Amino acid sequence: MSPSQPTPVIDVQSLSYAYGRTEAVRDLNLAVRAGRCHGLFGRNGAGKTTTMRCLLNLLRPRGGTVRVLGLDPAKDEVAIKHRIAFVPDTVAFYPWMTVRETLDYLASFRSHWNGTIETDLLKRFRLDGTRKAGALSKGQRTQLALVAAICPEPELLLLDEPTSGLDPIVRREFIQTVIGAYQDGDPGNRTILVSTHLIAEFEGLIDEFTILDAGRAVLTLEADQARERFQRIRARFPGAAPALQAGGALRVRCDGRDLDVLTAGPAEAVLEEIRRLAPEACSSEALSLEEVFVATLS
Amino acid sequence: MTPFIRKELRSLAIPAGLVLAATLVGAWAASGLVLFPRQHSWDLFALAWFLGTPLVAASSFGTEFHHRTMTLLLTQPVPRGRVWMEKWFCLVGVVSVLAVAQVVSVLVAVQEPSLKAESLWTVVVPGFRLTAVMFAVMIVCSAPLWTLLARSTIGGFVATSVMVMYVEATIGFLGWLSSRVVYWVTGTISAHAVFGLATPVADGVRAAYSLLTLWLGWRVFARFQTVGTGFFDGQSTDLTAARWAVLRPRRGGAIGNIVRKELMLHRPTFLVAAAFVAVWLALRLVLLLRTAAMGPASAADAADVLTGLLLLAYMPFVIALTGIMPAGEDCSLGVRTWHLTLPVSTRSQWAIKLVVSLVVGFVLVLVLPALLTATVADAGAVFFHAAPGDFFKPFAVIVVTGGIVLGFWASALLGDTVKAAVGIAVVAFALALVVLLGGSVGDLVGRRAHWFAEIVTGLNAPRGLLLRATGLELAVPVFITTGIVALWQSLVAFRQVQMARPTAVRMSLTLLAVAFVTALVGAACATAAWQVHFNM
Repeated sequence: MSPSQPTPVIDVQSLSYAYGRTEAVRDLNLAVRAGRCHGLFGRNGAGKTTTMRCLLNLLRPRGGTVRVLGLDPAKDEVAIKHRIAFVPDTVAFYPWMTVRETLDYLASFRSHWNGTIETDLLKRFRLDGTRKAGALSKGQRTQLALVAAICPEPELLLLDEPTSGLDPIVRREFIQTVIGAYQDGDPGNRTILVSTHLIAEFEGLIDEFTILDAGRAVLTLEADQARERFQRIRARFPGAAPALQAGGALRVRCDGRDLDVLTAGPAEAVLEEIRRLAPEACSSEALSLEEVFVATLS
Repeated sequence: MTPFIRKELRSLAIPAGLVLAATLVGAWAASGLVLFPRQHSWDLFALAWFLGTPLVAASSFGTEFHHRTMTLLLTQPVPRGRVWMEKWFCLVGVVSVLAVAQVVSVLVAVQEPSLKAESLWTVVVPGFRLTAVMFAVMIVCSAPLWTLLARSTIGGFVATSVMVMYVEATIGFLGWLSSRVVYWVTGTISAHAVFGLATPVADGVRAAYSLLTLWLGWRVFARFQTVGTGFFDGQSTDLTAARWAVLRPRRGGAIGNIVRKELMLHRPTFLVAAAFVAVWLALRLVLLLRTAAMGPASAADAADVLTGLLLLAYMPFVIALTGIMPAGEDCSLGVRTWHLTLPVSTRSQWAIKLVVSLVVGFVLVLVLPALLTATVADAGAVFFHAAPGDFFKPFAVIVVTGGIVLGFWASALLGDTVKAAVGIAVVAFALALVVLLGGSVGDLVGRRAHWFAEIVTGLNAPRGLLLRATGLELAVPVFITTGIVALWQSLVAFRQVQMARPTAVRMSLTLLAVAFVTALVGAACATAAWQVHFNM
């Protein structure tokens, strides 16, 4: 990173962590710039949650350095936590507290708490303030956690599988409206790091992403660059589709008269190659982030 | 043996192993091979039996709630009746083995000349029938019911123990009532005329309670629904749904809110203390009535029973609970991770938890028993002497503090209430063994090393220290050193949301090593000083 560029909100260098002898994260590098929404994608056990926990000082890294908002989580724990909010993958609250009491409890730790947003979100999620947290469904608990994370208007929002358990309507509303509104509240300064399996749901929100596999970052890319680079080319031939030997192709699949090619680089060369085979029809389209994820890991 | 029975026996193995270990340690202590006052072997037998059996019995269904496998169990293509029978017969088998081990150990122990005093013999042997048979029957039959209702191992354990005490209090009351009726009818006084504590009629009441709870337990299991919450979850019963308004969180005051939250986490401990006090006062009333009928000798018996309950049942359990609940419940509820991400330092959160635990512990384990003991202090108890002031002596305070710190340590390391409860029991026994070993080795060193004695003499140790150390006296330095190490380790563990098993094992071994060295050095110094003092 050049000296002229601003300090990343999250700056992870060569991060390693192991549970006993099982390495969860290996030599991971990650940089998230301010105002961006960064996706952390990976299979189960890829190291996404461990990475988040290292950022939050919930786990002490075995190796490497971690900086959050320019600070060291181990040394400036409280200063960092004042400026961030976290939604864990499994949300739980004290069962004896009501929804209102839970929010009061969490608000008491914050110097700033937006009551208007709280009221709005409670209404939007149809959460009853007098209901005990122990009586909430899994999805409602997640909604409550999201309300609690958004209301302090933190500089950095860490979301670990935030939409698990949410119904499709709330999920869509949460991603498009709530998260969008959160970032629009102070554009350029509110950053999100989200780990999720539901990549398609976050498609329009994510600016850049990192794909983790077995604790390593295998691909870090801007979302737009990914769409440019990863293309699907479909061609139909008059007879059986011919075998294609193209250098830039990630995957080639023949199905009767149809040829399906995925590319991970400039698609022009592959397109030219296919056109030389005289197809009846030929088209190319950008892959979705989910397809990029699948293509990268498979 | 079917896989289900193997699974069942495996789930009972850890608590049963603990009870067995405590029994064997008691027998070992009685043998006089270790530096331990022999008469305290009875305390170990009683602790193992009266705390261990309900724990084993509650584990049968409790483990299903703890591991959240009840739904899995009930959705298997096996009739509920068969599941119930296999679970119950496994429990009966395991408790029978423990009962035999207990009986054999006590019989071996009473062969020791120093323990063969007539008073002990006459007290212990008749008590056998009650403890080894009727107590076990009541526990085994009633534990499934109470555990299914409480939906947790600890809740089932508490409810089972408390209800058995209520039954005994009721029998005692009925015994007194029957003696009064006999007196009014015949004009003669007889405390056990019809309904004494050790009459067939009383055993009939115990058997009726056992059969009734066994049948009710089966009914509850046959109709069991995997919805709703447990007794301690704060919404399932009127008792726990009671308004604890003063402990509700407020919009301002972060530290105050954490303290209130910590006190709420201790709510099961408060409920246990309240239930115990109610039972204790009921028993006190019954025994008061018996004393009025039978005279001062009965008052001493009553004081023994009541003080014994306080020292052997209530105090160890509440010490462990007070230490375990704050960190263990945070993990069991699943709130630990996000709570650590709140803008309050981990160290502050740890310190608040510890301080609240210690304060709650001192109130419930020192102040409350002192108040209760005040009512029986002058009765002339034979086995268990405790004056109210004894609870505030340095020894008691250090032991209680050490116990709470060890409970806190276990829950921070293991991250779960039930695991921590089992863990603290394992560590407590391991510590006891290590202290006995270290003390014994230290005693040998102190006897043989004259040069060591000279060094100790040169230190001009105060006269009060010039006594050979016993296991209990070694407990003070051991609790101090291990307490300090446990505090540090608990802070390290508290910072981590997931403790790797090798790290937890390493920390435990470090703790035991510190205890061993402390006991060794302490015993060696004490023995050497004792030799010098008496010119031996």
